[in-house]
Amino acid sequence: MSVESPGTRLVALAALAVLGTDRGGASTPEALLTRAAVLGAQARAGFKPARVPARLPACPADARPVVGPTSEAMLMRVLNEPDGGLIVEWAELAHAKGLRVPDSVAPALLDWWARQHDRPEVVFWVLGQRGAWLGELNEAWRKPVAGGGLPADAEGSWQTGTTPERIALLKTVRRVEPARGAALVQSTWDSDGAEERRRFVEVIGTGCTLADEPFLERVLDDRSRLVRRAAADALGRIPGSRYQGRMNERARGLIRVERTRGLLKRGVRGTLHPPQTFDESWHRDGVEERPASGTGQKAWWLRQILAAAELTVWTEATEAAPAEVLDAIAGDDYFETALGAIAEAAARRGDAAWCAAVVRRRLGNDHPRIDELSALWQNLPPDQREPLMLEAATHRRVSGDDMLTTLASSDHRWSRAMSAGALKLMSVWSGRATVAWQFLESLDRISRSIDPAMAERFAETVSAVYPDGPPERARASIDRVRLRADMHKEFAA
Amino acid sequence: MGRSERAIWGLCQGSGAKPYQTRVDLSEPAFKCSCPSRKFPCKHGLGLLLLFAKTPGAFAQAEEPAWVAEWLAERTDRAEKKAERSRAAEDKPVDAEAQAKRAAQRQERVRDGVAGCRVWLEDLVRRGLAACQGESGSSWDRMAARMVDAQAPGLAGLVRQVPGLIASGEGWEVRTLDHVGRLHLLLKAGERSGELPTELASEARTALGWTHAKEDVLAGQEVADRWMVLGQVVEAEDRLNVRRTWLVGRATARRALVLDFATGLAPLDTSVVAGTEFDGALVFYPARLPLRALVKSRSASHVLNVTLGGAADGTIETGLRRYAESLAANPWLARWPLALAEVRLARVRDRWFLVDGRDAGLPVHASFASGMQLWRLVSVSGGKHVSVLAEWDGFSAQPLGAIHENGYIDLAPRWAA
Repeated sequence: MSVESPGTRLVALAALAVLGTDRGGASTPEALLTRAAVLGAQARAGFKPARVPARLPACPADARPVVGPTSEAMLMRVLNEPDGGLIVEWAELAHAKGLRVPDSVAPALLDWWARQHDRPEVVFWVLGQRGAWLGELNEAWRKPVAGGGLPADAEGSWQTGTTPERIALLKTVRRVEPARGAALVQSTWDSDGAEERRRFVEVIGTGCTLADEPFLERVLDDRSRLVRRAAADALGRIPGSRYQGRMNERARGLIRVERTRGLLKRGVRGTLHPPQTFDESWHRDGVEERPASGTGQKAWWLRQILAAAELTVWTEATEAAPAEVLDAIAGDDYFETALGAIAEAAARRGDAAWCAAVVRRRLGNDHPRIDELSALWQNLPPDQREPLMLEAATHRRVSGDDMLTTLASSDHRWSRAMSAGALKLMSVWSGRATVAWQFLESLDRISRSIDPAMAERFAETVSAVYPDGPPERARASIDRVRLRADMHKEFAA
Repeated sequence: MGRSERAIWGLCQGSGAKPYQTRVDLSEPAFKCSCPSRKFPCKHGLGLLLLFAKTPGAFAQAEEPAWVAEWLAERTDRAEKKAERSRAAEDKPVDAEAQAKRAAQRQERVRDGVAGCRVWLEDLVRRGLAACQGESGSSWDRMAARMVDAQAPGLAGLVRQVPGLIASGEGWEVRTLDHVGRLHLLLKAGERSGELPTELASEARTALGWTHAKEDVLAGQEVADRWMVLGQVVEAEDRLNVRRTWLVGRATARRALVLDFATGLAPLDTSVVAGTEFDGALVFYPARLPLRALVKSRSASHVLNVTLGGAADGTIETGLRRYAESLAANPWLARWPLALAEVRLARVRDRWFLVDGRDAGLPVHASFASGMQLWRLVSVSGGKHVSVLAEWDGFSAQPLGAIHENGYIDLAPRWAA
């Protein structure tokens, strides 16, 4: 005998009600409604719970204590900031104290973390066991496991995937098994389009080693200029590659740096000798023959070769410091070209000594270009970067707006000296009540970098700009610094 | 800043040229500030009160400045006038005849409203629920407005819920039919109230929207207990914010529902907070199995003791039995508080359940299961047991609060301000 629960009968009646009694036949509306009332009441009163033997895995215990209620309240505030800009700083402070996030807040923080491109590690640390456990339950929050995560059939997916899918796959495979990644690319090389080939070479170019050299060397003979260019860039990142050797050799032919020997003066002398003709072999290594308009041919060739050469070519003969070398060639007609090439090479290779020397040199010029400078000082440790930034900001030819943008361009946590210097510079705006977009944008960025111990001085400085009260966005910047100050105080206690 | 017996005050430098004059009457407390903020109480008043709570020593005892004294005098004046008016009202002889006439008038209006609603509902079922799926909510709103005019606000509320049920996704037709079935039952009870047992007729009257005067309720029998405030939720209902607060008495194991109302941006009463408990007396609205109540007197609030004890529903079966008893007494009961001790969360094919020690599982309401509050509940449970206060509508549970080893968390849906 089948037992029909009131629930199933109500469902059957609902099917009739959807059609309506005009079409459903026998029942009158009155009778149907009465029956619905009876069945509904029976279904609710007689509800039988389901048998659910399934259980969640238990979360492993976490020995670390939870942050206090004040820190928790601060976390709620930083979570509610539109861009979550202070979350990482909060997490760093909590992590430094060996504390973790309360369980009731963990899902919201984990959700934020999972939506970030860089998924900062420190946030996952302060989430502790609970974060990892929740990640197991909710796929969207899962932490990508280093070393794992290779698709079962990488080769098959490579053959059939769309371009974005193949690029994602290649990145994963390269991280785990670089050689297999290179093999994937070569397996379809002849049938892939130029744009795809270029993007694959770019993926291989990040984190490539000498093992990739034979393949990349072959790509230098590719029919597409952009693909050749990408291969040359990749090879330039492999120390000791044959390509690098060739570019260094070419550069050595164009520069002469030597020690001078004299009784009174021991120094360094340098000269630049741009190529007179274009060497056909350069094509293969990505050197372009035709310059962009406005640049002379010889300067263009010189620039490309020097930018691709290793910086040691400048110092190997003399063991002079970068600044000495720059001084030595400063009088040359082609100095500006060489300096641009050196700046490019130093920024790309992250060479701190050369970056510092170029910034110094640029600051001695009439028109330092802020975008070039910030690409350079990103490579310097904060204690070297900050004095240069302050110097750049006070350069006599830098306009007021640029000055603030300059300060705001570095998002590291500022030292006290840098913060004080910046506040002094900002006082130039006192009473101007500017609502310029760049100014407010800079305030926003500075409020994330400045030493939070300076919160009140920051508030005073900004308030002084606006005699009638700061606009919403400036107020938000003041509040942000104060919140950071409170956070640091709270965790220091 | 300064203070007197009755008030505290202070000057606050805002963004304007003149500092704001902020004053707080401590007897209520009541606030007044010269700032232009539309929020009430404003941040200056609240800040002042917080400061006073934290460091009373910072407020020197002093003579009330004119801007404080005048305001206090005004308040005293108003309070006296109000008291006078209410005394005058009390003194007025009750016009029994006029009252009876008004009652009869309302009876008639409700009867007309009920008749109109019945015709309309039957027409709906004749055409079929599918036909109204594409219709806009405005016809429901019109019907609800008619029921308000007919002085049957209870009916209006039930009608207003229908469009939401129609749009509620999979299974909408069952939920809608169940709801209109109950509505139909209420309409018939309204028509034939004379033939019903008095107590059931009275439940029907309440469901239709007859209310009891607060003074009459407060005059009723007091139920003293240690009351646990286990869940609170605010819902917007036709420009009115309605807050449901669920209480469970530790000794009597009685469940109580306290309703608060506020219009628009006005704040709701804040004396009863979820996650606390207090010693106090509740008075219940008359009913066969009373549930709705008023707080008549109370001690200060304490943080909720995380052991619920015997007052909770020890098993899901116990909870459902309590619900079924209440439903038998009042077939129009919309929600029932399940105070489930020691349940765990479980997931079966993407559906979430609250499961007790006997593996009996109640489905969690779909809207809860798809939101962040579910994950907060899962997170504090850590895969182990928690106690949960959930509203049960007969088919699914909507958790409002949970008690875990470290305390209480509020799980009510968050409304965007």
